[in-house]
Amino acid sequence: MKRIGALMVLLLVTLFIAGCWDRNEINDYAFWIGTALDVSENGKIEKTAQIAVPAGFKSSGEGAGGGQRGNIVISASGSSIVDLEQQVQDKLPRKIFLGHRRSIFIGEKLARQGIVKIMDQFTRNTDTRMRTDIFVVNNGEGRDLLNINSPFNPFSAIVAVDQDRFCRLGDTALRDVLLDVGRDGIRPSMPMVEIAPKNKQEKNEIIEVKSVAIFNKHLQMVGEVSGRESLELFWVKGVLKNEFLTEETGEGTVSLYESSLKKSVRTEIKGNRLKAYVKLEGTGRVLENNTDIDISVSSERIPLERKLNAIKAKQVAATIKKLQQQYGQDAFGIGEEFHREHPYQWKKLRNRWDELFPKVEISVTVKLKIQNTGGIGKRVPGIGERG
Amino acid sequence: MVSGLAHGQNPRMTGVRAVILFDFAIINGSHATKIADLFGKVRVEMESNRQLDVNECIRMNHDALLHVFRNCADIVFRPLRLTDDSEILLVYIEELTDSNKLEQIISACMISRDLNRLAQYESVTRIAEVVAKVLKGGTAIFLDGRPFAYLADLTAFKQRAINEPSNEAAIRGPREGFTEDLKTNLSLIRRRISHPSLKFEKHQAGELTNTEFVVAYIEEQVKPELLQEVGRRLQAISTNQLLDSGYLEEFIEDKSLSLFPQIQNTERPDTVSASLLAGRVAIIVDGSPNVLLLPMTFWAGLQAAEDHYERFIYVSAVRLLRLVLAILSCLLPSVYVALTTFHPQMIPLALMLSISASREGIPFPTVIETLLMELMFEGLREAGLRLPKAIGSAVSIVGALVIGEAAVQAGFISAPIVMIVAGTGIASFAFPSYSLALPFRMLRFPLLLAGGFLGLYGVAIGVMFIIIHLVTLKSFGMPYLKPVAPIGKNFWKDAFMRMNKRFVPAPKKQ
Repeated sequence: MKRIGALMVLLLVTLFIAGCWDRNEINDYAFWIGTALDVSENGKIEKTAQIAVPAGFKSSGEGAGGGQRGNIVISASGSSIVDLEQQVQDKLPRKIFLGHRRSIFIGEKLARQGIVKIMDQFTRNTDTRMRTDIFVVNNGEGRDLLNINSPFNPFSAIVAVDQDRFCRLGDTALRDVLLDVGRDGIRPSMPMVEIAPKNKQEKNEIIEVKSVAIFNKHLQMVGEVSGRESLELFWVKGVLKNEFLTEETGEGTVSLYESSLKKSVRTEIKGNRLKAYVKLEGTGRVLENNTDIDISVSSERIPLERKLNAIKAKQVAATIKKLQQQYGQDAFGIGEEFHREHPYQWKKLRNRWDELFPKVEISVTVKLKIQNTGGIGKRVPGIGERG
Repeated sequence: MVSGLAHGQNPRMTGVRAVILFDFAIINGSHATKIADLFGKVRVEMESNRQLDVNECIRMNHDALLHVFRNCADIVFRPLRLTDDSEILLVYIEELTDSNKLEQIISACMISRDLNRLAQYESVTRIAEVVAKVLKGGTAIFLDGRPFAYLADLTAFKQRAINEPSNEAAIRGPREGFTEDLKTNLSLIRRRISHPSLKFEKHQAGELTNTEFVVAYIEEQVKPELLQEVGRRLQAISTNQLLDSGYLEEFIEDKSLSLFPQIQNTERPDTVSASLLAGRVAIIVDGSPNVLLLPMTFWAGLQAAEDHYERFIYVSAVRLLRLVLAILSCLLPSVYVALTTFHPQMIPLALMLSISASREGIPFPTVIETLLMELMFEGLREAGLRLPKAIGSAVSIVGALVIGEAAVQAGFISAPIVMIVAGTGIASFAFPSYSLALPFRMLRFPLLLAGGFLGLYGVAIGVMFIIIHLVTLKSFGMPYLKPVAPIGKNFWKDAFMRMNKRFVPAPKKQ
């Protein structure tokens, strides 16, 4: 009994004397919500931080956009990320806390220069959340994005993340980019955000996510695809889960909501010729039918499906061609498919993949299934009726 | 010292005790000597009286009893002289005797002189036994010329009616609760189990209180080793008082330093009957409405009586809810403190921001804040427990206002803490068993400190210690967490959840 008591006292004493506890009240932390990285005028890296001010958004519930921002934006410029972080810390009365950073914005200028130097710090620093979303700011500076006052959330960094989730461009996290960087058969790509132009009634600016930046092996941005092409890029990459399709069939447009999108790629190596067969699948429901086709009748629906498949396949093939010819970067991960199916030959290909990729012969087949024709078979009753 | 009533007091043993007392008095000397001396003398005289047999001469008996019962205002001596000059002496306690019956006996003896009618009563030859019975409410009848006394059990005294047990109320099921009277309590059990194999073993303990208690069990169901163990522990009791079953519990429990109750107590006869049928042993103490049930498992404390009356799917869900609430009542404050002060990464951002917004400008660290509020809450509960109902509600209103509104308004305490404390409070009321809720209430504080000093690491260590303790704890040879650890065949039948009785065979002797 005595011995146990002594042991307890000893334990307690070590607790107090050692002083090695990392207790920190929530209010002693400055929550770092978003980071923006840009190139400053003198060629140095400029880091901007969006930091939560809890006292600010206590009252923000009452009047939307009522002066109080709920966050402050702090910039620092220097040569290394850690140094910049320290500079930001010097401007804050609270300890910065990176564990809740939601997004990183990279200015397009910096992205085109290359972000290898930046990425190293993210992989090394254990405070970094791998699920932090990463964006390239289209035609702009990351700093401007953090300064946006969104009507939905006091933090524009969070708005971008939420928007990314619903704009169907997948949500690309730091982890995905780092995984792609580590592989030879795929080149990283990141969604791009831009600040939408203000219209008259809008007091606040709105963020738009509609294109994808494509990077090369050295993490330099080489180009972008936007709109439909970016969706197709992600479909072939296998990231896209669902999308809205609107196709001109020649007799009018048909809109589909396609879900459970799948891709499968078969590859073939014949001597010097590399061949890839991309097969895209999806099932969907018709949302809009501006043709005179009665979708409820199989004999009319099946030809429509075939037509849609052919149109879509042509479009996807064009997008792939564009990437092959214009940028020469395998953002689709076709190389990884070669790697998987021909692991031994891949060892010879992997180092030359950037030269080889533009020459790969890729054929695309699309198989869209109309599973649900919507509420009615034909168009609004009375229109398009055939006697 | 405990012995069966039938054997009476062991005179030699008590004699020895008196001598020891005497010695003690001499050694101590000075002031205390006189009192102890007196006390010792009285003791010795009393013991010598008790060894006496009932005399044929009624006067001798009268003197002997008068000596024993001197200064006992409640004892009535009622000498009666019959017409033929033979004498009768009645000795009884007025308040404990049914006067109507007594008058009947007297009239029978005096008018019809039918003394043979008394033969129906137990005859006792020793004064000591007479004394013991009279003190229990019996009526001693001495007849001239007979060397024994008749002891008539004319006991009748005012007692509480059978009420619904307020601490263990049930929506469905019987609403009877035990009272303070042993006989009533036994009858309540016997009415539920009308089988001769239900045994009530009568014992007595407490040298001054002479309290009767009954060990009840069903011979067919109970394990003989358990009975032996119970008997052994009851034999080892040495006390001069036994005022409540709680006294007995402390003497026979396995680990007296454990926070967890190892013997269940209940006011419900149906719970006792069900436990007896499951092969457990009940101890019913005279004067206490709380019956002890042993061995106890942890899960018994999480089960309410009506669990077996309500439909089983609902009951299973409620039992899981209770388990979750039990864990919450212990861990909620400490986990909150650990998360907010050590691991803000683990709280979702939106929640974190609103917590930190409401904590802006609060002067205390979160640990202190939580500790203060928990203490306040426990104080409020303790104060409300014993106050009269009229004041109690006022206290709870004031408390709720002070704790809930004013503290937050004044900026002393952050709003999430109030929620945490209130949630903990609600969770701790979800225990069907009050005595099992107590350890959880207490453990909250060391865990809170551990969480405040070491974060989740500390909480984990604390929880580990608690679990290690629970796993090693045994109640009368039964592992405390059975049938969960060690896992038993009844795991799915009546522990976390309850199966339909159709699929659960009636408990058998294990």
